[in-house]
Amino acid sequence: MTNLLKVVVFSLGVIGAYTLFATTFTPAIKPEPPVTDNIPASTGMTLARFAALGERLYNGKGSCGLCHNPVGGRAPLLDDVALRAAGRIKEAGYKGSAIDATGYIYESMTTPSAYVVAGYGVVGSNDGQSPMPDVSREPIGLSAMEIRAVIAYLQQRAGAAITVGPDWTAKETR
Amino acid sequence: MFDKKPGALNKYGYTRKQNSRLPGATVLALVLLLLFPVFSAVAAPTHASETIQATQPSQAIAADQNAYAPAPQLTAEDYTKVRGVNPRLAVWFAAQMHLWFAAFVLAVPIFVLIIECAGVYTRDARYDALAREFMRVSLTAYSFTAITGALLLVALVVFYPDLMKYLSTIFGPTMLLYALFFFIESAALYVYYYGWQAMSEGVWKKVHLLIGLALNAAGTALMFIANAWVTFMMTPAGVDARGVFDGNVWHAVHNHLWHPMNLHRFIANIAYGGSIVGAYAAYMYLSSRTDEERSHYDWMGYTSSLIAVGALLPLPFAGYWLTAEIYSYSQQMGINLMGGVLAWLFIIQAVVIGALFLAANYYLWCGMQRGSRAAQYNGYIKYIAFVLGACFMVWFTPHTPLIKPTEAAALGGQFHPWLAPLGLMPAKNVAVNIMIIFTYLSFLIYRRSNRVPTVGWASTGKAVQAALVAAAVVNIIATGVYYGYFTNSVYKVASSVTQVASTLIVITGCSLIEYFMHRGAKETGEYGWGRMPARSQYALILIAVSFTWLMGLMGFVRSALRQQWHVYSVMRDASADAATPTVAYAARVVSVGTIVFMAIILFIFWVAQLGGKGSRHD
Repeated sequence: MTNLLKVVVFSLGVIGAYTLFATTFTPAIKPEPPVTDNIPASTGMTLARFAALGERLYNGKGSCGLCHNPVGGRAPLLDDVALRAAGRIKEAGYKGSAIDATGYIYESMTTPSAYVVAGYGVVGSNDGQSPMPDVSREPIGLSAMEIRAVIAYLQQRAGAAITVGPDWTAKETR
Repeated sequence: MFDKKPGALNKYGYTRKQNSRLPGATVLALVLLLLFPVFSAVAAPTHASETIQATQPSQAIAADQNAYAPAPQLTAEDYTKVRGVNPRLAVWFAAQMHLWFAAFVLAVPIFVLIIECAGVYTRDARYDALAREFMRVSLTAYSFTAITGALLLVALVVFYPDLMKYLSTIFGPTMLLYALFFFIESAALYVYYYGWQAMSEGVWKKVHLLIGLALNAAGTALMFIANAWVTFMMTPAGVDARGVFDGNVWHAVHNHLWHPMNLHRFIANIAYGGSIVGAYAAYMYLSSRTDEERSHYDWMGYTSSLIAVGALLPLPFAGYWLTAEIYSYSQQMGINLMGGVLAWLFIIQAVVIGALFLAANYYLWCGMQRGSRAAQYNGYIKYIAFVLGACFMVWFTPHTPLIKPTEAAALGGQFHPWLAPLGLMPAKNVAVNIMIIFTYLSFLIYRRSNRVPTVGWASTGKAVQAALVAAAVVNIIATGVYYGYFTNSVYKVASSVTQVASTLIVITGCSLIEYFMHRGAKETGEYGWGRMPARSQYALILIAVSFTWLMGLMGFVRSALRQQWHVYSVMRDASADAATPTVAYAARVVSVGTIVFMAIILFIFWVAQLGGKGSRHD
């Protein structure tokens, strides 16, 4: 009986120690509740507010910052993507159909393999395939309006003029 | 593998002079069993988008020819509400209980069969007696596995009826197959255990082994089928973006994570089963009243711990494959796992696994005292302990420490300049591989604690072993640092391959040298089974409790990875419990579950003890 008691106390002590560590020595991060609804954007919204909406989507529902950050190094940084975009579509490795910088960014979000920045392709694909998902499909599921808002935010972030509003549509593709 | 145990035939069916080495055939059988899931692996879709693309042609078929509907779009009203019952908690608890029992009862017959084969091969009755005792311990757990499985099914059907309906639309045939294998397993189990005595001689012994094989085949098939369901929920295949099933159940079964999950659970179950039986042996050792009993349970505990630790060593590699495949399917899912809110869970995991490694090593160091040459090797223990401790600390160093704003300002940022690199995966890969190698070194010196090699090339052999270890450690650190910190992220995986290869080469190479070097080795004294201090047995109990707790925590991670999806990206969870709980909440749930489970296990031990008394009288 004494041994049984010792074993029980010892086991409870081990479980208690793990529980204490998990509950006390780790940060109390409460995961955000799931974002399910599309964020409405009225056609009369100012470009600045539209870009602010884009920033919310970038860090929230779009979860763009998960990969596009300097810590993990899993995806290219997007600080100046709006400035680089026009040059991308002239590069030899470009396989998409955009004809301007904004169209390129839109295409990058819905057809990421159209152009893969060197070193960021799926391993073994020789940078021919992007590991990035189509953000218009689940599990991210951004609406067309939300993708436009993210583009506006990226333009603002790069210090470029915001050319994409709620009513923007892509120019004819080549 | 085992050491000689002197003495005459006793009530457990072995003589004290019989050699208890586990033969090579047994090791081969174990390796084949471990590799089976790899052999069965054929090319699965390699990426989330590819999976969807692969099903595109089927979409038209689905629309035109079959009656499969898209996955239902649920609202909060679609879920059953029962006053005073939290649906997620009810399902979580039932699922976890079922998984613990299932892991135990699937694992025990695997190593029981191997040990029984060893008994037939060596004609050593001890193995047969030990195998039968292992089965007796696990027998009551079968009933609990079935009971908790039924509870889980009821909870799922009551609280998540639409999910179950959707899954059964796709997996209906496999559910029937599951029932069939369950009957086969049950029948084989009863014939295997209750027919042990009747089928102990001649050709009947071979029939008995075949029944054991059937038992294991059915059990493993059951696990593979259930794995298909849970991995489909994480990485759905055979359905289009709306969740319309293409009609081919194999596509759904053969989803992206199926093979890695099969391998990971297969190995983990063996480690877990070994640890639980080890705890039983430890408890019985502590309660033993005679030297003979202590000797028997010491040997049983040693064998169990060898199985548990032997399976624990390759487990990180299987886990790494599983994680790499998660990243390969969806970077977003992978980053949520290792870099998001769940990342801290892996710090907790590191603490628990570190405790497992330290306990396993401590048990081996205590075990050295059974031999007469222990004093010669005691000096090495402090160095091994130092390396293990250092690796342990690297493993649980977080990338982002818990600091106040003033501390962050003093640091110059959120990350500590020296410790932050240790928080990244490459540093942890280095630590894990070195821990594995040094645990293996503990095993090597344990083996040498009672024997002296007689071959002329012994010193050369030891030098080659030392060189292998040194080269591997240098390679593990060098590749970890170079690929981990001085190249692009995508190349980090490359370093892990060479690191794992180094570790495996050390273990295989040193084992081969050790085997040939100690053929015909001279025993230096009587091997003292039963001479272990009581505190060593608590190491075995710690291993069992830690494994149980860790399995619960990792079960939570696997499920939490789906976030607000019943079936990732296809069927959304619209219930009130869709949000991922905090790590602290999960830890508390797992702890309560572990306490309940361990209480039932104590009951099972007690029942097994009663059965043991009966069988000894027989």
